[in-house]
Amino acid sequence: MMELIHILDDCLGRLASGQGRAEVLALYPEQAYRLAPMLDAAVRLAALSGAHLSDPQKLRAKVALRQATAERAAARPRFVWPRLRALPVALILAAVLVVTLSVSAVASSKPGDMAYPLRVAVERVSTLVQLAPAGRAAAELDIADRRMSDLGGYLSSTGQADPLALNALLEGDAAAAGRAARLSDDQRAGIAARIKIHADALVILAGTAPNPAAALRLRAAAEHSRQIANDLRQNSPAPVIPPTAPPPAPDDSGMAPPEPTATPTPTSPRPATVPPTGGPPTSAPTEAAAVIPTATPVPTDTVLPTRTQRPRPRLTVVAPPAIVTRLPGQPLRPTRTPDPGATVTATAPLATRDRPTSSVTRPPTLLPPRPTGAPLPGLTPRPTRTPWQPAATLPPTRTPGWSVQTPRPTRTPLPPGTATRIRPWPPRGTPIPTDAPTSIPVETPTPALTETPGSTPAETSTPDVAGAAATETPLPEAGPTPGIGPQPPGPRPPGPRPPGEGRP
Amino acid sequence: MAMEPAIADEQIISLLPGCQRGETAAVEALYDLYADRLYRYMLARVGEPDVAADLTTELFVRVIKHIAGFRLNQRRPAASFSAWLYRIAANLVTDHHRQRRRVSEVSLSPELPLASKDPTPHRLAEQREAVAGLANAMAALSEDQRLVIVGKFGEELSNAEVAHWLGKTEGAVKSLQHRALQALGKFLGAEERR
Repeated sequence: MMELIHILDDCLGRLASGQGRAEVLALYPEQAYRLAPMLDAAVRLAALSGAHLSDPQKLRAKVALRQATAERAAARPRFVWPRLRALPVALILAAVLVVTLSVSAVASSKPGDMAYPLRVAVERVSTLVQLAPAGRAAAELDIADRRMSDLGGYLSSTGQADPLALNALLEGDAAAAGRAARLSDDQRAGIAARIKIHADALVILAGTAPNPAAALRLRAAAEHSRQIANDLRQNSPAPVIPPTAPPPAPDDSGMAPPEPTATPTPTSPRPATVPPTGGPPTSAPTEAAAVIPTATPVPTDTVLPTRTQRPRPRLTVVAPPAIVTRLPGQPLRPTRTPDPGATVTATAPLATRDRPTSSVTRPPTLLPPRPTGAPLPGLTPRPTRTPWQPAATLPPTRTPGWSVQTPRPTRTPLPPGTATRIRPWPPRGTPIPTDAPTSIPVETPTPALTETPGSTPAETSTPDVAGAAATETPLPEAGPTPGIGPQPPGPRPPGPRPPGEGRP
Repeated sequence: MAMEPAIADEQIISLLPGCQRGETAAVEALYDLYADRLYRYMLARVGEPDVAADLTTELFVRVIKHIAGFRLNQRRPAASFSAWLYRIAANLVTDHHRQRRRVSEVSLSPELPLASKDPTPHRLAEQREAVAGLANAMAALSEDQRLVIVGKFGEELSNAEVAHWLGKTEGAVKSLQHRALQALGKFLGAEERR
């Protein structure tokens, strides 16, 4: 068989080289009867080699090819589309389906769900698109409202306080308060009010919480939120008090109200942290800063008269040197406070806090008492605040940097029998007279005491207890207070005035 | 010995990108390179010169439509492309035979497609008759056998060239050639005896 294949191939080669069929078959006589039909077929197949297309056929074919090429170029986009339609379309549809389901699951998640942290994070993204501080703060509060709603729903269903929602709520309040720094007073007050609403709602939730731990946690959060609101209020710019208020009337003892003082200028952003240096160390000033005024015991009657015998603290303000130099012959000679760090603002809250425990007999801390006996009208520094507040609780001034350590005057215990009115926020430095006004002028401590000329702490130390009391404590028995001169007629002393009056 | 020079790999590599971009010049160059070869294959399959010419044109139209998706074998560029072309040609012939069984056609072409170098009328008649008989005999062969026959007798290629074209060994080509000629001889001998 193999031999015949090779013989056939040799015969075909000889035919192709021009030899005749008979001549080739004669070379293989034994295989001639097998080779003959195959060589006959090969001879007939040789007719194929001469076949070819004619020129007109080729011309027609090329015309058809050009047309086909043009059609293909025109149909190329549709030619590509079926490829794109196969797998990518299915992938896109699957991706859309997955995304849709995921979004719906996240949007409908509640506290305790796996997707709830993602929802909390995603919803906060909406605050990032708010560029204006007011809008950003409003968005933060809106998110905090949602967290409050989530918190309430979760508490009602499980009796527990979801920590994630609670933290998100507090973060939203804090973020809103942080964004409110550049806002106006009204906007800031609005934000503080909303934060306060959150605090109140948390207190309500704490009251309804069946779980004591949850209630405790909610109360702590409420306190924190309230602190944020208070800080926001107190960090607002100090109100500029125009001298439009009527001068305070002399008290019953015939003594003039506290001498108007100059506008305080803070010397330190947080003067309350500076320990007093003008006197003996007070009792645990830093610890007292954390004391809530509501826990302060009511001062006894034996303590208060002692303080009334002392000159009221003229700790707050000292007339500028330029004014003092125009007062020749005055007993108060301008001197410089040796310790610039000893500011009144540091002593006032501390003294206030110390008052319930060791306040009365505490030695003066910072500044000597200002000679207030009958000052000349022209010599009195320009008043900026109304220091005298008979039997009223004076809210803390909105001095910048004095927000945290300032005790809340509204919670200061009052002597028995003294009716007081607590003035709502924001305080404008205006004392609210009480039903039983006392003659004790109170003074709002101010931080600008480092420039007190001529004051020697060791010699003229003033009991800071009185200075502390100036902010809040009404004294039932008001005696003549040394150092409080008559009201100067010239400049209008600060007095009660409507909140916001004279503000730019 | 070959009537037309063998197609080099470089020719296919240079023409194929242009054809895939739809460039007319490249398509026409490709047509000139393969038209007669594919025509002879069509003629051997269908036995009618005008039908073979139409099928050849239709073959190139299909090539234009599908050439963009063709991926060249870089190791055997010309052979792989030729194999692709002859596969399309075989499919066309199959479709033609299927249609012809449904509708009897009458060729009206006055031309003489088997134009040889010396096309005398007698010679042309003989060729036409020979090819018509071959077409029936070729139908009894396998596709590999047909390709070997077309390569050896239509293109006048050597065994090595056919083996390279079909991706087979020379021994396999000789074997295919032997079996194909054996079948053709039997068929043609029986036809002559009838």
